[in-house]
Amino acid sequence: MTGPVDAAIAQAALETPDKPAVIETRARATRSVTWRELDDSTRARAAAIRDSVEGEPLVAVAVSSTLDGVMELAAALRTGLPVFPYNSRSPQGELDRLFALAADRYGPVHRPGAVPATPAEASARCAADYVLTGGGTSGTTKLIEGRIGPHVTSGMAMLLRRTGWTRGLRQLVPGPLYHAAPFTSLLSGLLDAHTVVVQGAFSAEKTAAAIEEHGVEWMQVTPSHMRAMLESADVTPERLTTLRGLLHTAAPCDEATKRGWIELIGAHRVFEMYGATEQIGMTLARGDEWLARPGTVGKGFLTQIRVLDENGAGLAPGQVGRIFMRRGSGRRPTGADLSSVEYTVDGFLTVGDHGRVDEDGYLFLSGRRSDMLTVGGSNVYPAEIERVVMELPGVRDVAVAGRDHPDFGSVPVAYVVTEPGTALTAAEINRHCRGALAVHKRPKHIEFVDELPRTEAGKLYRRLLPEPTLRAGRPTR
Amino acid sequence: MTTPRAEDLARTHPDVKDAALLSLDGAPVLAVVPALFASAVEIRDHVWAALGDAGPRTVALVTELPQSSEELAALLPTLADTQKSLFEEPADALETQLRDIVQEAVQAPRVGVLDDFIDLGGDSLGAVALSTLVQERLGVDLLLETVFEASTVRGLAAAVRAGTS
Repeated sequence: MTGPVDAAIAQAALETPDKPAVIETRARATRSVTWRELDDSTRARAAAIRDSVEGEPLVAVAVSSTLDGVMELAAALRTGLPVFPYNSRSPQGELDRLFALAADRYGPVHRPGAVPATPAEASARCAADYVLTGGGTSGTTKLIEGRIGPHVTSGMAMLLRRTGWTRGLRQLVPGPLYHAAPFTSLLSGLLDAHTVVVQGAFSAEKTAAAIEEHGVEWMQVTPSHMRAMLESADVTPERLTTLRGLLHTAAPCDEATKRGWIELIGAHRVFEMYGATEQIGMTLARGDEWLARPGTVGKGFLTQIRVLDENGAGLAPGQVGRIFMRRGSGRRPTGADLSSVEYTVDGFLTVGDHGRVDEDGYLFLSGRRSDMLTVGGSNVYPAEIERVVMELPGVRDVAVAGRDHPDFGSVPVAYVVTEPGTALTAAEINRHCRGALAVHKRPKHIEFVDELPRTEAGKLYRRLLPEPTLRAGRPTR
Repeated sequence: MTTPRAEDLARTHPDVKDAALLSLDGAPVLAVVPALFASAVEIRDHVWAALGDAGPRTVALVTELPQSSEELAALLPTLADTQKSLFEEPADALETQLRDIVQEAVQAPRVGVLDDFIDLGGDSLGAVALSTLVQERLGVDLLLETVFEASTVRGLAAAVRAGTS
């Protein structure tokens, strides 16, 4: 076995053998393993995975926020083979597409417990240490590669240390481990001898109880988590005293939620990060910086920021344009999936988000990539949903847009034009979506319209779609 | 045997798609179209590795090659700092000291005082090395942000002066 995760787990087991490595806290029971136990069992499991594969395939791991889920992921990472965490609860159709995509790029994909896929004729070893799924602007799922570098000096590790992160602390991971941010937090925690607390599906009450009971010192959350916790009567400042860093990412955070958390735990413990799974650079804002400049996502961290207009010309502070950043990881375009990234000749990259910087270099976002919705912290691309709805006989045209939702930030609403003479119902469309789309991607409301606002070239004016007649968020099933 | 031409040398760099050598006010300027994107400093050093001091002191990254000196003269002022590398020697003792520090931190073959830190190959590790060396030798604490914001030896010299004043 080889690689940084293997070495880090062995090292932590040597230094702090009896300290809890992973704690699973559920409604009725708490289970945990020490670093020695984690070391022993993942060492054996990693060897078993190694023995069961031929060559160096991508190892797909169905992850869950449980003790067993973290152990399986840790074991896979210890093999030194490229690891592919995925959501086992995705509908079969989505999983089939996902594995076909991975096999196309990396050759056979190994799924522990599943029948090994027949080796393809040509399969270069995947050069990444892990592969995560992300949504492309085209609506197709895409694979994003990550590398586990020398940990202490990686940009991410340096950013984390700005947010109260230290080696050996107690970290709660509330988000799903197949998402980039929670996965990265867990991975960094394993490399830094943390005690990692997981709690199954997120709930505000469970999280408050876990923080208090296990003295959680750090966690990475989405604004949806933050909103839910602020609304819960169980979440009080007294229960959160051990928390020294809260890092939120994934989606814009509304002002009320931000201020609520600053009141709850203090401005110097609330941190916000802006970045992209494509690793185009990142910004960091501490709560007191945010209070001085409400709405900022901070200054560039190990990067430079440039705001450019649609023609690529530089814009002055205060002017809104596309946000470009540089990867603070050298000059080479290698290792990056540039399929959804635009770049300048001197290596400034953008995922299409819009915003401005002030005179002091603080960044303010004004819109995420034009069409994308963020549903409960997950990126959702209308095109993917539109493609699925279009599969149904009787659908002539469809457009999906996001509508504000008090809890999830936004939810997808589908506008459907049916073929004349067909009697397609919302229930039939919902049924079809249930079989093909993960729950957060399914339209929460179906609106039947006579036509869609399109240009002559067929391009959709998404902003001209009518407000849904029913309250967004109300299920139509 | 003739000396290789700068534009031919530039084209041997993996990040370069096309290149042309033009002249501006009597000085050679190498215009480069990157395959995707590139570091002007790195291209300059790549050409210098073969030509030495005879290589052009200015490299400009462009999307389309200018066809004449006039076109180049019109284009250059519109380019962002990191779209061109203009090699310049230190102007004073502090810049010389910082030039040596940057060179050591990012392990670059040659550092001009206007060269951008990221263009020189600087990353998070290089930034840590740089601020450590500045602390050790000049007794000034530089934030990591400053390394990327000031970004050049000249900019760092200003930051160090501000930090010691």
